[in-house]
Amino acid sequence: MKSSSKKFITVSIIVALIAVVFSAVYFTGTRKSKDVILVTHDSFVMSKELVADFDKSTGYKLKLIKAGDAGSLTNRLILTKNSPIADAVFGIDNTFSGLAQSNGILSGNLQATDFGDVCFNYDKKWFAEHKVTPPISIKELTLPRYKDLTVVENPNLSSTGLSFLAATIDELGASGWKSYWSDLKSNGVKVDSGWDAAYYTDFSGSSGKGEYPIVLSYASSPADEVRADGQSQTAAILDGCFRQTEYVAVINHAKNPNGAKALVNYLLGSKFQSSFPNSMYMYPMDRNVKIPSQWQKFTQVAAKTYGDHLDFAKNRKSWLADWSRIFG
Amino acid sequence: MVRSGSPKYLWGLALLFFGLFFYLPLGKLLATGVSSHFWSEVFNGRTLNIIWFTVWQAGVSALLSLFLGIPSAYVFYVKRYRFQRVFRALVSIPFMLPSIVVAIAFRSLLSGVNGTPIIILANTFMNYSIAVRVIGSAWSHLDPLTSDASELDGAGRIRTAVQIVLPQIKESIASVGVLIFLYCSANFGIVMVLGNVGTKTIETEIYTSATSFLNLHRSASLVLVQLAITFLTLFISGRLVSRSLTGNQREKQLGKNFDGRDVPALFLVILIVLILIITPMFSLLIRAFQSHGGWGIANFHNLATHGARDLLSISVGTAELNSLRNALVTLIISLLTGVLVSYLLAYAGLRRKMMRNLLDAFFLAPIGISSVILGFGFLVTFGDGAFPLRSSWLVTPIAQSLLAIPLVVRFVYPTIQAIPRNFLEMAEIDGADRLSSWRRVQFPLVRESIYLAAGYTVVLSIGEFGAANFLAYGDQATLPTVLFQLISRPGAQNYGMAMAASSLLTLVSGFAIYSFEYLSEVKG
Repeated sequence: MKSSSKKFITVSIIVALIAVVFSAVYFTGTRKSKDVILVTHDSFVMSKELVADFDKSTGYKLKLIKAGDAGSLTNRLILTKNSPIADAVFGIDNTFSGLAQSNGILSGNLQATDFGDVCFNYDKKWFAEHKVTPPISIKELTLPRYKDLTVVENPNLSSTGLSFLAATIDELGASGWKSYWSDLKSNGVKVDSGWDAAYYTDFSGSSGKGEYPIVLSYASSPADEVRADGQSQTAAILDGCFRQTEYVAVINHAKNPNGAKALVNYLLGSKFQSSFPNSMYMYPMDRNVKIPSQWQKFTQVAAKTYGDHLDFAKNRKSWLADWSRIFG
Repeated sequence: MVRSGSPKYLWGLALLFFGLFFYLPLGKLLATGVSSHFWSEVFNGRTLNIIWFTVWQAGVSALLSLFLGIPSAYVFYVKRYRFQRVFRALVSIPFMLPSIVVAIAFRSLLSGVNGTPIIILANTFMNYSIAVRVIGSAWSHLDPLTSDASELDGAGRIRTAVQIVLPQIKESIASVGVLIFLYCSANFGIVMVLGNVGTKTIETEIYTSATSFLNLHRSASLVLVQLAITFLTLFISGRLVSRSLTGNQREKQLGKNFDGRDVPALFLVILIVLILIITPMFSLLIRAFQSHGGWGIANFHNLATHGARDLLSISVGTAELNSLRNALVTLIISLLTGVLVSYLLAYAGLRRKMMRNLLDAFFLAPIGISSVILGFGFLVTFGDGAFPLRSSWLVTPIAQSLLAIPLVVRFVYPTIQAIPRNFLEMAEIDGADRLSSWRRVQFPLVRESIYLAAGYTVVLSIGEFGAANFLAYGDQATLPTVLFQLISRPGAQNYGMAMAASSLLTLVSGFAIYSFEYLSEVKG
């Protein structure tokens, strides 16, 4: 090989690498003083219009970071609390709020933005086709006729799963909940790592067209499964529900605390509040916000909810250890 | 007389770098792990199960890789035929692939089938090529006379292989087996993607204990267990490993053409390569071009987006730029440091053997540390306190450098050592100072090994998942961490994007290896 062509190749590789670095620096950039960073769980949705509206009305520049589900989000903030990864946090819920507060990761209070009832959903179409009566209570899920039909989320990894675990502890009592879960297990319940996987892959009534006609989701989910005939393919089982509340807060040691405060106010304001039902399938905390008509037709809130008053910060570890022993 | 010893400030620099970025985090982990919690965290049924699973899945994978690798070594290295190099290159691709891409390829092949068997298959896919390479190289250096004689005496080829050949190369087989075992006991990305809810290895447990349960004591205790396994394995097999990696002294024998008695071996190897190697890669490629509306490049278009329901904080394209930037910074840091360390070690001029062994160990120790452990150590050490490095994007390339430097040293150190001393003496007589003697005499002799080391460093950095998963997120996410998010969040769009990005990553890794191997072969 001639040395000139070797040089040519060396030089072109070096030039290519330098070009890559410059473009990388250009694209990722460094933090600017007007930037305000919001860290959220993976299910957070904020439309481009709302982001632009926030930027325009406050003069800040919003950047979004996703950090897994509510649990990973809270833990991530605790692990990095002295040099936080964001200025504000959305998505710590009432199952993790105690942990967040006791670790001092927040500046000021958690402010509730939205709520929803964690309940089972079933696929009406599947039950009609198979001529099986759909279940009306969580206890029925252990009956032989519902064997291998149910998918739930792992409470170790998912706040939806933890919510339901808490509901069973509250509804069935310290003596009953473990045997209930053993029965669920022997009745072939599937455990997924998170809500996305359970709802969008394994549930038969959603776009994933999975194999399980019963899924742990939200009372409001059926409003998102309305088909061409104007009916929802799914319905909620309004027993054993847990009222999940989500919060927003300014993070302690935030680099841009004023921007974070402006952002918190924006998320509590009516423009963002009215986006909750359609983008995140949750009820806005602001009662003056109009709920879409679709919702009034296809969703109900549970008459009675369980578990939301339990002390999660204190008991979470032992609950999860007990649960993991059953599902080990 | 050659000047011995090097300037003190160079030693200071190297010691400081390793002390700060390796021994400080490691010390912090050890201090956290050695606590009253250690016994209760490790010696309970759940943890012992995890340890046992880690060991046996690695052991089975290593055995399977060897079992498939031995006949393949014969076909790829002992025989001679056209396009041999192409075939060798083909089977060596899997080892270069990022583990997350391998996991995704197997997911694409057997979607829905998770769990232990597929983890073992993916492990074997990755490590089969290193088994073939090491065993093949040893086998091709054997003196053919003994096996020829045995065949003349009427022994069949299999019998010859088992009775005559294998005993002669058993050290190579054992040492590569140990290496594969160690790789497979630290196969974080593969288990994270392909494992079921209950599938846990020591590394995935280190990760989930820290990030899902904030149980740093448990994570650090498991770090100690993982280190103990590595150390014990290396200790038991220490002599074997060091001997075979120093290379073969005997000359390589010229291969023979295939004959009728090779048909069973040939048939078997074609089968292995087709099923184990070609099918997963092919399946990945096909899925990359498959989307909702049939065939097309929609998945590649989607790489500019943030995924279905805006899952990602940045687009896959931006993540790829982050990865390339990290790779370049890693390359610069690890080449500078790695070559410096190699140079210092080679010319330490130490009379006492013990001191030299100690320094060797000091600088080569990171080789026994997995990326997950390093990432975890960085997270707890540089999260806050005196060096809040974690909030800077530099944290990922620095962690990756620590993983790459031992690699650079292993490539470069022996070649510097091999430079005859009288070359330097002559240069010195000619009046060359230290720098120009390095530039004119030493560098040209070690250039080849530096290029090779550079290639492996880039591939390592681009595919590195364990440390980046702890350290890089938000707008600093790297391609592997983004891939992991995509593959673990379902939905057709995310799935297709994962396939497309994996194919691209495969191409980038292939290009990096190819260009640096090319550079190292072309001698100026």
